[in-house]
Amino acid sequence: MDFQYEYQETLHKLSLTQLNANQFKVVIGEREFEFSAIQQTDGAWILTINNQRIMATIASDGDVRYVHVNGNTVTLTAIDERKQRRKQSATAGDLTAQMPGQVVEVLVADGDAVTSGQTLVILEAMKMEIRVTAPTDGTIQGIFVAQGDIVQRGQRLVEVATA
Amino acid sequence: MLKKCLIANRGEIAVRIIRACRELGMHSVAVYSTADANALYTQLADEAVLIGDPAPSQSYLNGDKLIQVALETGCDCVHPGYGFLSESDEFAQAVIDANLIWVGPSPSAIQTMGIKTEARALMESAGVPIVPGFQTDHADDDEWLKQAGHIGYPIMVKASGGGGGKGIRVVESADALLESIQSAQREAQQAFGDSRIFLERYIEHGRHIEIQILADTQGNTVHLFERECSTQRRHQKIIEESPSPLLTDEVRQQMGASAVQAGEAVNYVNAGTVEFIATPDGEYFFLEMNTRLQVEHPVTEMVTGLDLVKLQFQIASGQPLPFTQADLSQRGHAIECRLYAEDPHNQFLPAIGKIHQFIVPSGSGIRVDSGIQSGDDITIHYDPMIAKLIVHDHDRESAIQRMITALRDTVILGTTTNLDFLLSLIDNPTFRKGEVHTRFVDENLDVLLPDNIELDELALIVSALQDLQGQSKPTTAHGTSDGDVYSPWNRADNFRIQ
Repeated sequence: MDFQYEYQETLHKLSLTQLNANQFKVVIGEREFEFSAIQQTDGAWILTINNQRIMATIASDGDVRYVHVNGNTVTLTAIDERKQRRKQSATAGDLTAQMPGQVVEVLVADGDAVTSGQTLVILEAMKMEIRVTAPTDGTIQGIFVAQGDIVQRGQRLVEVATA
Repeated sequence: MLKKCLIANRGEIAVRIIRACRELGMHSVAVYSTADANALYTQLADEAVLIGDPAPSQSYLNGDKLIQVALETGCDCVHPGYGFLSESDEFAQAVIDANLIWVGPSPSAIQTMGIKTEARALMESAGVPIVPGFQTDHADDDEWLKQAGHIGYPIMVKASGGGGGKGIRVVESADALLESIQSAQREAQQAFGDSRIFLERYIEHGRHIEIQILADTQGNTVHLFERECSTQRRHQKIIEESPSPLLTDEVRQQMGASAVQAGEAVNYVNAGTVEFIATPDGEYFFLEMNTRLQVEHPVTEMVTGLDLVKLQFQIASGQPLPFTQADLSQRGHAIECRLYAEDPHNQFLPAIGKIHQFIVPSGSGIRVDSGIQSGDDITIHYDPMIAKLIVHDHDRESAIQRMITALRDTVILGTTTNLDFLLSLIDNPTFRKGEVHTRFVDENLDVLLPDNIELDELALIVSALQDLQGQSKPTTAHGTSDGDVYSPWNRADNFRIQ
């Protein structure tokens, strides 16, 4: 079975087949090899590759895979190539939250004309205040949050159409 | 002995205090905001009471409510932990007025040491060395400039009304002085409601070394040696250790004696910490005193073999200290790393999210103090500390190696943490040589920030294993399944036994 994972903007592919109870074959890059793997509890694996035992722990959240192995932790995203997935990415005119927090105040309304540097939204988290300002002169083309909303990092706040 | 304690705090320190209560045969009452309803500490306490909304002002800072709960649940004492109301002399007094025992020093000691300028003046008269400086309630611009000139640049402008990194400015030369003073005054007014500031000589390459003291109600005060906390970023501690790699036995004894003097000057009772700034030449100066238990207290516990929280309860019960200064000694070396849900690559801003898996390292000489368990959410409401990882070994080299192994064995999956940053710090040559000063991290961030890890192909293989197994069985209505790929109960077809 084929799998694809993205790690920091690079796509990695591999193919994994189960041979019997604890034996697997993997094709990755130019290489192909067999190994054994046992799952201890959900997410806790012990692999044996060339007589070396390796412990790994994995947790999944939707498409995201958090893996701890060999003393390092990495975050991968499973890419399903069967479905056409459009990554919901913010466009240049979108202003996003730089940190998770709460919206203290939205200072503009849809359609308002704004100038470069004007404060549009005030966010607050752990007693720190961040002012989200207009990067250029323009018009507000969309407000996606309201006072009191809790926002994640990268969440869209406001869209500014440049003049 | 005290019988039932209200813990006026949350998270890992609440867990810590509950453990001490259990060992002493005391009952514990936890309080929680709606955000902490499933927190570990509420599960460990004997009783848990909801006190309000997540915002601290509605919950953990609501002194009246905390006292009300203490009385309603029949507590005889209140332990404030650290942060929140632990250094509020008003809350301490209110607890005492309600006929409850305050596990800490007197309200007047808290008040005196809380105003930094008063503390400095008191220390000076007690013969404790203070940082050369200048303080006054009334000064005009000329006076500030003149006095700053006497002290010499660079100069630190600091707030009198509180600490925590607020209202602090470093001034390199006279032309920046007045503007910095005004800026610091505004920040101090905002943070403490008190715009008073004072000046202190800025000690270059200073080392933050603090002394733990303990005092009983019978006038006995001892010190439990030092903790060095110079690995800081923007005045926030990251790594602490004991013994300090800088101190000689002679300076250690002098500082210990100064710390005891400081405590005696305010008739201190219970646990406290006297903070000093030390120079590489063995000079040291009083900075401030923290009139509470500190985050990094486990470091002292590991090298002295004592349980500070149990001793706090024993002192609060009126018992004398069960040892004299001569009975105490440091053994081996201990290091603590603070693990936070923050993103070092995004200005160390907090990283909220769900902790899907949290597995702590264990073994000889490894201790983890945490209030977090797998499945918990890190929220925006409170400090995003996940855990304190503490190691102890017979010398510093071994302790560093033990910490590296413990950090690599720590499994924390689900949110961004400073784990790799801690590894980078502890393995850094300057840290290994024991030469880190308080500005080291801020000045060398580019070198210290860990590079993005090269992807280990094992991570891909494990993800594929997990997903392969996930594909071969149907999910149940609850979305769970057992781990056996070949279990007949996991087959999607209609099997029959013939």
